[in-house]
Amino acid sequence: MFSAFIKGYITVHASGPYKERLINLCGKRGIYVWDIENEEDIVSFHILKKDYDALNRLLEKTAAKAVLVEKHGLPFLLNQVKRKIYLLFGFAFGVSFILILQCFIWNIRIEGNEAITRSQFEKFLIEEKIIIPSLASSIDCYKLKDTILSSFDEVSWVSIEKKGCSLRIIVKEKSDVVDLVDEAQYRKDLYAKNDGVIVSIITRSGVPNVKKGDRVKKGDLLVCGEIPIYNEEGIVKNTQLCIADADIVIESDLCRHIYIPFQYKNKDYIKEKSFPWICIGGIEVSPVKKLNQTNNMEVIKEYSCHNRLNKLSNALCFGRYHVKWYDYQIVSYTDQEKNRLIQEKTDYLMKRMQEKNITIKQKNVTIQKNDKKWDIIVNFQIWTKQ
Amino acid sequence: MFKKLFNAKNQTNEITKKLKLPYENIFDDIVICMTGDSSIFVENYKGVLEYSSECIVLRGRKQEIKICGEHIFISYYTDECMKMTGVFRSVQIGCFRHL
Repeated sequence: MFSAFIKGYITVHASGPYKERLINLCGKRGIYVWDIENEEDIVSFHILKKDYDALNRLLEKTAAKAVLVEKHGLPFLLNQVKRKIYLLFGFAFGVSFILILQCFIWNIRIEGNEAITRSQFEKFLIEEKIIIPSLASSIDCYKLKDTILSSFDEVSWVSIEKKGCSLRIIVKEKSDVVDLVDEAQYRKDLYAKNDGVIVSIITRSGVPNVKKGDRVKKGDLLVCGEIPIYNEEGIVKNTQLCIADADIVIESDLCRHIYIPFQYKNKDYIKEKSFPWICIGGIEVSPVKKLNQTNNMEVIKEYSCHNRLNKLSNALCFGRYHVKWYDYQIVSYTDQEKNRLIQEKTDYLMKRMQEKNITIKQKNVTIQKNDKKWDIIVNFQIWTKQ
Repeated sequence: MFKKLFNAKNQTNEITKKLKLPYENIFDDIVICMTGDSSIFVENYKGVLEYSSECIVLRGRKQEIKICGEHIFISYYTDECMKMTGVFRSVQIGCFRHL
């Protein structure tokens, strides 16, 4: 079937009194015939495209009539394509475009980094002339690995993999390495994380340096990890190291400012429209760029890239811009609105602190008036666990 | 004369058997391979005498083969072999067409 498709074959319907003779003559003359079916007075069969002329010559001998019903195969497809040559060019251009894009790196993934930030890594890669897009063949993974190990002391192991259009860098930092040192020989002290007064201290291991009611500053030693061992005369004979562990609560003051302007823009949205955008090779094309960028419009960018295209996100990405035009009036806050806003922002601050395990004991709000805005000073008295 | 013919055929038969030669090539007989009642493969025929969706008559050197059934469909046909599919009910050997 596949070879017949490549060569091209046709479906013929033959009718006449001597159909069987036609089939016999086809066999005798070397015309390969298949899928022969007889329905009432018509015999339908397939023959190769090259045998059609030979079949026509046989029709006279057998007084049969043959009608070409269907054409199948590559030669007929190519004929159709010849008439629409631009489709072929478009297809060829598309394929070559994709093939060219595949030669570049469009995405860099860095995994396993904690001490070293992503921006530090990106800065390092830019210095090594590895940017998006970069020719994949120009990146030497072994050389880059050695450079990373020599440039970053925190990195103990690195793996670099080129996968498709993506460069994947996996690092293992030295802090991840488990110390095989005997814990008894390791000393760790506890220091204060912020200024305040000690409210309570329960020491589990180590020697406490402070007591309840002491005022401490940030960085002061709270519990020492070195336990002195005294002899009978009260002289320090030896020291034992340990990891200091204690529950310490420090009371401190925290001040936060909330600014609320006297007036705000009351927006009345008039029109909303969306425009497509496409980014090819980092160059973005969109009709939004030609719009008059005024202060009276809001623009939201939406990405429509499918997850599978994520690796090519910098090479080919598309989406829509949602633009809203509005008219506005400058309106002053009423007292009610102002109080509501203050309450909302204060609650938000308190919620954030509670998420960090900070207990709020007291809250004091002071409102001051500046030139253009209200300055709300919120003083908290907080208890933090060290 | 008939005895001579019979003796000649017997001898040919014996030689073919002893030398283990293919019978269909020596005697120019039709070869029919049937798979269940759905597929028939035929070789060594001279041509098709009659063809319809219920019946097909093939001509051999000395005899005719009539195959009856339903929805008879010729998968391929060449000078040497052909394959048919369908639901076959009977295969008869004899003389079916009076020319």
